[in-house]
Amino acid sequence: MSAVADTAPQAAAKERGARAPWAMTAPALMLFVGVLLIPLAMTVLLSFHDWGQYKGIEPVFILKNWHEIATDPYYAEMFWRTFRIAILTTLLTAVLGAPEAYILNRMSGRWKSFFLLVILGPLLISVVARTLGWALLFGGNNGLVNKLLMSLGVIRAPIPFMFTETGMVVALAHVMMPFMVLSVWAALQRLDPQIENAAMSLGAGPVTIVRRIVMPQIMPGCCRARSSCSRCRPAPLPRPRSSAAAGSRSRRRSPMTSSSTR
Amino acid sequence: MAYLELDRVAKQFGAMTVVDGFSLAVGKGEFISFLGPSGCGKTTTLQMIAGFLDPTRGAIRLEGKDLTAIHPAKRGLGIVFQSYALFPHMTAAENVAFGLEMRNVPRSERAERVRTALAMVGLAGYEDRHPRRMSGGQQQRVALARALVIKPSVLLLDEPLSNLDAKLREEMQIELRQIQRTIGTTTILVTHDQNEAMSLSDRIVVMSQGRIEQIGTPQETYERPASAFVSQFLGKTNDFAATIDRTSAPARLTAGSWSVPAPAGLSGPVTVSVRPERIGFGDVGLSAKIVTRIFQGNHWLFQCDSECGPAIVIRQNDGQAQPSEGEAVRLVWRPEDMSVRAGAAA
Ligand SMILES: Nc1ncnc2c1ncn2[C@@H]1O[C@H](COP(=O)(O)OP(=O)(O)O)[C@@H](O)[C@H]1O
Ligand SMILES: [Mg+2]
Repeated sequence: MSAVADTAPQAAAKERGARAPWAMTAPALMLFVGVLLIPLAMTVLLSFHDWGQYKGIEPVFILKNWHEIATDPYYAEMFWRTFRIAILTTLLTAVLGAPEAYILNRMSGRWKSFFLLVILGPLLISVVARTLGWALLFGGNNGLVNKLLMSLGVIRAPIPFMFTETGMVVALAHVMMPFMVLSVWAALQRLDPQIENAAMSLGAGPVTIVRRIVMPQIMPGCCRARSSCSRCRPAPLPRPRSSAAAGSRSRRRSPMTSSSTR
Repeated sequence: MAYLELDRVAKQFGAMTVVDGFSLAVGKGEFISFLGPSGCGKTTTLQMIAGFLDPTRGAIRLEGKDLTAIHPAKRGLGIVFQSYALFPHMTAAENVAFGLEMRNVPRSERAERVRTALAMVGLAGYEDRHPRRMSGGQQQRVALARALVIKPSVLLLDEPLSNLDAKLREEMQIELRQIQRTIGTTTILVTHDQNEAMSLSDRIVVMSQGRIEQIGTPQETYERPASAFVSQFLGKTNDFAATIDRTSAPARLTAGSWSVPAPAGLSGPVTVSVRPERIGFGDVGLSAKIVTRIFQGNHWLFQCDSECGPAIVIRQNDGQAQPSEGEAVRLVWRPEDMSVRAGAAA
């Protein structure tokens, strides 16, 4: 390889150098195109075709489907709910996960490994066991969480968690937490270990250091985490038309089964 | 009274003592270097002054006040880190302005001082650059400007030039010295490069394994090294095993066939240490044979096999005829050019 490069004209070598990254990413790129871009494109094409219960898919060009999405409040509500849950989940994950990663990064070796395992927990437990666990914690008026909150005097009446958006957001934030912690942790590890000392020597207090120096540098990590969160977000599953009129649509979705991807 | 004073400072990590019995008095405006091999505790000492580490024992005082009682953020010291530790999400100007912001300096004055500081390190016009779009030397200058703009009482530099290539390093050394002379800030530089320590400092603190080996001007430490370690670490040197015989008067210092009247004090086995450039070829002295002769432009380098072990001799290329390889010679030096230490040469 190097012998060839030695004899080849420099321009050719440079060109090969420029092509190397493409060649190396080609397999992953092809997979990406094959399983994501092509199906997506096909779905977009499909959206312009007509469909009927008895006639099936008809390859004609119409805008009926798009018109329906834009005008039917059923879809607007669905999109808005999806969006709202995503934002709330991300916020909750960031608010809890970023400080968690910061503390984790400052721990010494042995404790760090232990707590990393604890944080990865949700990913290691099967969906069924996890769902059951949350059901026990949240379930009915006698759920552990409600009992605890009431005995602490935080609330007087039990909060309905099961089959509510609150419950969904809490349970989703729990599953997404490892992604957030790991992304932020990775960003923290890329920080210059002396950078906090540098800020301190210039007169910055601990709050200022986190706000002005650490946060701006780990924000890219937070964003990465947010995109992995949205990947695993509940997909907006349309209901059969017949139940669309029922106002309690969201109540019938259990928090965990709507987590679609894994 | 000393401006900055370290009094028997020690630092332990667990059972390991990393710095021990470190006492030093730094005068105002002085340029001090901590010189020693990697791992000898230079950074640890500097971080104790900065306040990032607490000394296990001993006291650090600035103008007579106990410095260890003051939080690092309130010490008002300027620090340049080996990795520069610039804030990557801020421009050069924002980096430099950070310390002034923390001191609530009004905006207009801040801008003025940032501009002056950047101009002083030769970076006028680079205000809006981000560190990652600057070369190592430029980042180094931003770090220096950031530390100096707050008018620190002491400037601490931890191997600031070690990431630069040789040519740039030399340029920065000269510039650093000039800036320090101009503004007169008391400065402590940590380095493992003896040339850097010699060319920059008023005084050098030579360290080994957490202890001070010698404190002195560059010339003192080079010409009168207090220990074998110092003489080895500061440039090349020749160590000859010798003995001082005080049984007969007058006492004599003898190494092989070479013998001179003994200096006062020592007796028994000693080490005679002579720098290569202080040795000449003469008629009487240590007998030796030239093994190799290397021409290096402005000087000749001879490797000799003497009766007291191998020796290196450096002679100026002053146009005189020089002995050739294989020739038998006598090595001579003036008494004031040697240092004599107790104990046999290692
Ligand atoms: N936080 C620490 N914990 C344990 N040992 C340390 C720590 N920091 C430094 N050391 C040890 O202290 C010694 C001196 O370190 P340092 O001051 O960084 O040396 P230098 O700057 O002279 O190269 C080294 O042997 C290093 O391993
Ligand atoms: Mg060091």
